[in-house]
Amino acid sequence: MQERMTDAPAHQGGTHGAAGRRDIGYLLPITALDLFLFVLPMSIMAVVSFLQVREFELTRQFTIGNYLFFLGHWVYLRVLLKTVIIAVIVTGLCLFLAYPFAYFLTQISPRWQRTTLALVILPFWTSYLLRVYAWMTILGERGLINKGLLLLGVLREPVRFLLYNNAAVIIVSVYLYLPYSALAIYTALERFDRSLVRAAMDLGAAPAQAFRHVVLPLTLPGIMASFIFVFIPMLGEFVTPTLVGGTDGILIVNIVVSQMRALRFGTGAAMTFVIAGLVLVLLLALRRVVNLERVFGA
Amino acid sequence: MDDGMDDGKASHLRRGPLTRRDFLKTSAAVGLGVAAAPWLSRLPSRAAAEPKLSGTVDFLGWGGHKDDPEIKDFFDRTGVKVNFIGFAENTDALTKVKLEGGKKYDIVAIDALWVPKYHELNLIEPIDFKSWPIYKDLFDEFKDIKVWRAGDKTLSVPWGWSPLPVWYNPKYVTGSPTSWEVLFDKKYAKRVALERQPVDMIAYMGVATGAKQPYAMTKSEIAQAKDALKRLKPNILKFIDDTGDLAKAMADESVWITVENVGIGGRVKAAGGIELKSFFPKEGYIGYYDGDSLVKGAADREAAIAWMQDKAQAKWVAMNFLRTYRPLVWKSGYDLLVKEGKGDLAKAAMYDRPDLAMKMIVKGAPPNLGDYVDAFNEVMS
Amino acid sequence: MSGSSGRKSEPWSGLLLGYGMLVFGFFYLPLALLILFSFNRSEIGSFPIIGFSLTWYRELFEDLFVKGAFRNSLVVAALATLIATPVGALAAFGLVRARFRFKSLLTSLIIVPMVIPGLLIGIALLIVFVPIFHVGLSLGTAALGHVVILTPYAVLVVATRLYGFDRSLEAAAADLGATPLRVFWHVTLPLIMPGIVAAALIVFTLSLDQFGVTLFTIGAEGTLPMYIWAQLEGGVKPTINALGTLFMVGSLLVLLATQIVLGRKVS
Repeated sequence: MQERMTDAPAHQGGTHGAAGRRDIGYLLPITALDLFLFVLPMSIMAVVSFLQVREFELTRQFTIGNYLFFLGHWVYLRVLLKTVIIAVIVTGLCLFLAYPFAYFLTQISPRWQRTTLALVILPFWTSYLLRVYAWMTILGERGLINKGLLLLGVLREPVRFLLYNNAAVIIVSVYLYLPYSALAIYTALERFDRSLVRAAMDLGAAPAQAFRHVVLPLTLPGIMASFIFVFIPMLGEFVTPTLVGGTDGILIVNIVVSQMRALRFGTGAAMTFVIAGLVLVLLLALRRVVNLERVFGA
Repeated sequence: MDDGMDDGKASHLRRGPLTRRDFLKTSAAVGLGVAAAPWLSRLPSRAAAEPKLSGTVDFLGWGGHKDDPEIKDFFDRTGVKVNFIGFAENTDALTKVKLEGGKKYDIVAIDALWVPKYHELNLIEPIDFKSWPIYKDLFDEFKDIKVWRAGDKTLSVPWGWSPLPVWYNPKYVTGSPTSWEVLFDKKYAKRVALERQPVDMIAYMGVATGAKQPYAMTKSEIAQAKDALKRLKPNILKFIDDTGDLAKAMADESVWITVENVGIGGRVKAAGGIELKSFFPKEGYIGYYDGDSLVKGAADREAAIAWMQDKAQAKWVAMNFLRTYRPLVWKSGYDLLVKEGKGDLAKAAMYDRPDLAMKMIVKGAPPNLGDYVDAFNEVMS
Repeated sequence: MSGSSGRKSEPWSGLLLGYGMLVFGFFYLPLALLILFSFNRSEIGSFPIIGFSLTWYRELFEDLFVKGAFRNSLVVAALATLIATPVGALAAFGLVRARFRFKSLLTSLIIVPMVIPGLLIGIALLIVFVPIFHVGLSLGTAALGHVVILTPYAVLVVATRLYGFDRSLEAAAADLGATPLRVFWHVTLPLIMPGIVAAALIVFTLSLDQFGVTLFTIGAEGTLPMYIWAQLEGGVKPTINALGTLFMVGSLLVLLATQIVLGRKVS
C-alpha cells in the first residue's frame, strides 16, 4: 500500500504536478475537524490539568498539585503500572493465541476465505457492552462453567475465583481484542510467501528457528498492529474492570472516572493527559519502527 | 381551540343557502371568536383537571423513585415522557447537576443532608410544597423537615426513608452477630456486597470504628475508617449500583452479608431467596430519608411539578412499596396498603413508624468531601 | 497466494483445524448465550434455562425507554455519518493524491483519534464543552464525539477503494474536453461510490455501538449503549438479551450489505 501510494502520482507524469498541490484542498475539512475537536480539546485539557478546582469550580489559579496528586501517590501510580502490566499480558496472550489461529485462517480454501474472515469480524460488530456482560453469565458463581463442571461431577461446590478479579479482566479483555490481533497477523502472513518457511525447514531449520528467523520478522507489522489495537485500547479500558473486576480489578481509567464524578476536573485532566501522552509516545515510537500508514492499510 | 371554532362556522356557512343575516351573524361570531381565542385557549387549561403539559421530564434519580407503570400512565394521559437518568451516588449526582443544571435535568433525587449542600451551591429551587394538594397525604413528621426549610418553602419533596441495618443470610452467617465486626470476619471472604457509594462506605467504616459524626469526621477518624475499609476489602465481592441487583445476589446466595435498607429482606424473598436476618450494630448505624428536588432553571418545570404530584398518589405509592418494601413518607400509601390487607407487610417494614426517621444519623455531604473520596479511592486502588 | 497446495502436506492439519474451531467457539460462546437467554422464560436473564418464551422481545418493543434510546441512537448515528463520511472521503482523496511535505505527519494526525481510547477523548470534549464553553451536552455533542473517532474509519475505507482506482479514465475524460467538475461528477464519483457507501455503513454501525466517547459527551437523552450501561450498572432486565440479539442481526445485515457493495469491484 505504501509503495503504491508513492507510485501513483508518478504514473501520471508531470502533467498533474500542480494538481498534486491542489489536491491538498481535500484535506482541509478533516484538518479543521481534527484541530477543533481533537487538538484543541486536548490542548485545553493540558491547560486545565494545571488549574486549581475549588468548591466544584474551576479557578484560574496555576498549580502543579494535580500532577503531584496523581504521580505523588503510590496507590495511583501503582494502578497505572498495573494497567500497563495487564495491557502487556493481554497483548501477549492475544498474540500467542493469534499466531496459530491466523495460520489456520490462511489454510482455509479460497472459497471459504471470505466467509471465515467475516465470521472473525462479526463478534465485534455486536454490542461491546453486552459481550462483556455475557461473560458474567459464563464466569459467575451460577454461570456456565460452574454449571457445566457441577453437572459433570468435576466440582461439588461452585468455584468463585472466576469472576470479580484481575484474571477475569484479562480473560474478557483477551476475548474482546483477540479478533484484532488475529486479523493483523493474518494479513501479515497472507502477504509473505510461505514457501520461505518451507525452504528454511528444508534447509534444516527447526520449526522454532524458522519461526524466529523467518516468520517473526515478516509478521512484525502484524505484531505492531496488535500493539496499536490491543495494548492502547487496554490502557483506556473502563467497562471490563467495572463489570468483572470486583474490588481488585480496577484499572487506571476507573480512577479517572471517579475523579471526574467528584468534579475534580484538574486531577481528571492531569490523569487523562498522562495516559493520552503515554499513548502518543507509544504511537510515535511504533511509527519509527514501522510505517503507521502501512499498519492501518493492513 | 380557535381553529376548531372557525371550522365549525365555516361548515355551517356551506350547508344552507346563505342569507345576509346569516352572513352577518356568522361574521360577527367569527370575529368574536378570533378576539376571544386567546382567552378561550387559556381558560380551559385553567379549568381542566389535567394542566396542558409539554416537554420531557428529565429525572436524575434512583430506580426506587419511579415505577415504570406510573411513568407509562403519566405519558398516556399527558403526553409527557419521564426520562430517567440513574447515578451512582450523591457525589455523582451533585457533579451532574452542578455541571449542567436545569439545561439537562428537571428533578434530582437527593439524600437527607445533601439537600442543604445543593441549596448552598444554588442548584435547586425551593418549592411551595404546602400549597400542593398531596401535601396533606404526608405523615406529620415529614411535613416540615427542619433542614429542608427555605423560608416558607421546602427544598425537597420527601419520598422514602429507612435505617440501614446489617443484613445476613442465617444459613451461612452464624452466631447472631450484633457488631459491624461480622463484616470483617475472614470466614466471609468475598461474601459481602455493598452499594457503590464511596462517601457512605467511609462513613460506615467511621461508625464501625467509633466516630460520632460519620459525615463530619476528622482526619484521624478518616484514617481509622480507611484502615477498616482496607481490612474489609478482601471480604467484598463487588459493589452494587442497584438494590434490585443486590436482591438477586442475596437470593442466589452468592452474597451473604450487606448493609441495606429495611426493604431488602422482602425483595430477596420476592426474588426466590430465603428469609434474611438483620440487626442494628451496637456501635451505631446510619439511615436516610430522601426527596426529589426541582433543579434550578429546569427546562420543563411545570411538567416536572405535575409528575412529582402524580407519582405521589396513594395507588402509585402503594405499588412502589410493594416493589421496594421500604417505608415511604406518604401516609395515604400506608392507609391504602392497610385497606388492601397488606398492613402486616407495611408494619414489618416500619412504614407506620415515621417517628424513627427523624432519630437516625442520616446521610449527608461531609464538609471535607474530597478526603472521603480519596480515602476510598486509595483503598480500592 | 494462500497455498491450499500446502494443506495435504501439513502434518498437524487436524490439530490446526481443531484449534481454529476452538477459537471460533471462544468467539461465539458469549453471543450464543445471549441469544439463548433472550428466548429463556427466566426472570433473571441468565441460568437456569426454564423454557422458551418471546416475552422479552415483546417487552422490549413496548419499552418506552428502549424506544427513546433507539431513536436517539439513530439520530446520533445519522448525524455522525452525515459529517464523517464526506469529510473522510475528501480526506481520502487528499491522502491518496496530494503530495506535500508534511503528509505523513498529517496522516498520523488523521488516524490517531481512532486509536486513542474513546473515553479519554470524551473527557477532553466534556471539559471543552461544559466548564469552558458552557455548551449544554446533547445528542449533538455526542455526535461530534462520534465524528472525531469515526472519521478515520471513513478515510481508510474510501482510501482503500481509491488505491485501486485507474486514473487514466479521468485523464481520458479530461482529454475529451470535460471540465474537472464534470470529470469528478461523471467519472470519479461513480467509480468510488461503493467505497463511500461502505464507509457510511461502517460509520453508522460503529456509531450505534459507541460507548466510551458517548459516556461523557451525551446529554439527558441517552443512546442504546447508554441504556444498556444503565441496566448493567443497576439491575439487568432480561430484555437486554433480546436487544443484544437484535443488535447482532442488524450488524450482520449491515456487514452483508457492506460486503455486497464493496464486492462490486471496478477491475
